[in-house]
Amino acid sequence: MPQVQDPKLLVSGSTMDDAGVYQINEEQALVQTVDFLTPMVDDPYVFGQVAAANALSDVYAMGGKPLTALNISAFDLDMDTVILQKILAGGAATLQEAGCLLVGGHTIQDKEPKYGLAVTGIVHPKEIITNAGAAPNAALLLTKPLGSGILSTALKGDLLQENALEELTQVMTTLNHQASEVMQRIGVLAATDVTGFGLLGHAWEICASSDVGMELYFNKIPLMSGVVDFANMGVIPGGAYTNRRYLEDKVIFNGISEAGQIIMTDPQTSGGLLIVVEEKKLNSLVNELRLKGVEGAVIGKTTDKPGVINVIS
Amino acid sequence: MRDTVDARGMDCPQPVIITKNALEKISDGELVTIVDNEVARDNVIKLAKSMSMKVTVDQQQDEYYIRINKDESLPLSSGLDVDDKVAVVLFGNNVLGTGNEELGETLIKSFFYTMVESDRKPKILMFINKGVYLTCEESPVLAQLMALKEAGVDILSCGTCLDYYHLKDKLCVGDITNMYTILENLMNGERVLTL
Repeated sequence: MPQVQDPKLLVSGSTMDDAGVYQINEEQALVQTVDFLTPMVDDPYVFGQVAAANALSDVYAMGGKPLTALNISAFDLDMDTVILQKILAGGAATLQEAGCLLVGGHTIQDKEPKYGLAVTGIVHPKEIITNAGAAPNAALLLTKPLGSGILSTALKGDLLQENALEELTQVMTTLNHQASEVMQRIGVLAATDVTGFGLLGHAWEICASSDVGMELYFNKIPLMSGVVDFANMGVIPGGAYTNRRYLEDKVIFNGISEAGQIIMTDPQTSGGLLIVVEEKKLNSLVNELRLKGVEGAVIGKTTDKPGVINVIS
Repeated sequence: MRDTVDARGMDCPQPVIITKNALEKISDGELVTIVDNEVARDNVIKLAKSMSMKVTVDQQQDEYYIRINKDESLPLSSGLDVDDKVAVVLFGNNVLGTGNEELGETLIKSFFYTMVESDRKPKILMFINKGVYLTCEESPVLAQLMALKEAGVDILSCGTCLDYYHLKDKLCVGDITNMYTILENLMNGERVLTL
């Protein structure tokens, strides 16, 4: 893709960031992003909720506040249109929770249903949180447990128990709204949301954009229940292997089980925020997050060795 | 008796699911699952390993024939066998036996050299107290432990012990475990050997 340059384009694809940011004036910049998915759960309403939380997340990861959104959907008109209505209703409910206005949308005919949103948000030009701001010796915080790719795969295979499905649904429908507001208030160095490239893929984006390395502690990473068992059983989406191949020469695993390694590259849907914060602000960040009902796990730190993510147990 | 599962053209997790269902149906013998991509191949191998079954893979052009043997509960295709008579070995020290330390180290080396060569292998090796020195940097038996791990033997070091001896960032082989897992492995009714 050609690189677009303009003094008002504050963030573009060049730093592997989550959304584009365009400056309107000294106080305001637009944050724009689009994301859509194929269903990962059977319940159409929940699918709508997850897709919306996932699309909004890119704005939150930049420290922005979503303002308006447009639906993007694909649907087979031979199917019952009630299903489409439920998907859109789920999306609308999540937008409402986010305080983001649905202003329109477009649907095309397609055999496989798809749904997502184009979201426009706003951020102060001096308060944009990107992948590129990390410095060495800062703490890494993750705000949601890992495992949505593996558990969605288990769900497809009808292997997931009811309570595990509940946990998966709860994690994927949770907005990164609170986490974003808190990190914006405390002030952090860098952040991204953990989605298709898995934890390590997105951690790598921060490393590459910020010219730092990382040390991650596998045992500190929160996991949804059942994930390790399914990983051992080979209930693993193809994307996890693709991610791992891409990261092969960038990550060193020290005594991490095969299952652990693949979980760290498991593609996530509507994953949590991965936040890089200075040590001195770490405690207040963790405490403020907890007050808002967000459990931030300290999973590692940045290092001054660019090009290497070291994973220890 | 041989059954075949044709999982060509299928996306994950379907190859794993239908292999699992087929394995549950047959009482013994060999099952062959045919897949046409590496992800499905790796996932089906993982499934068989998680069920402690022996797996071998033949590649024919772009297709993989995964042979899973339900008779023999032997993980991995490395040719090294795992013995089910002694399941768990607990190491409380970094030498073998009590007495002269130098002799103890010679014996522990010889112990692991022999175990790698032997057809009879335990399922799990657990290391506690000074035993954790064996799984960390400068251990005289690292290469042997790695070979055992490669052969499907689980290697677990006590996290509290690694902490106590400041070895946590020196662990070279296997995983860190806690007392809950150690106890579970000791109490699950399989044969335990304490050294």
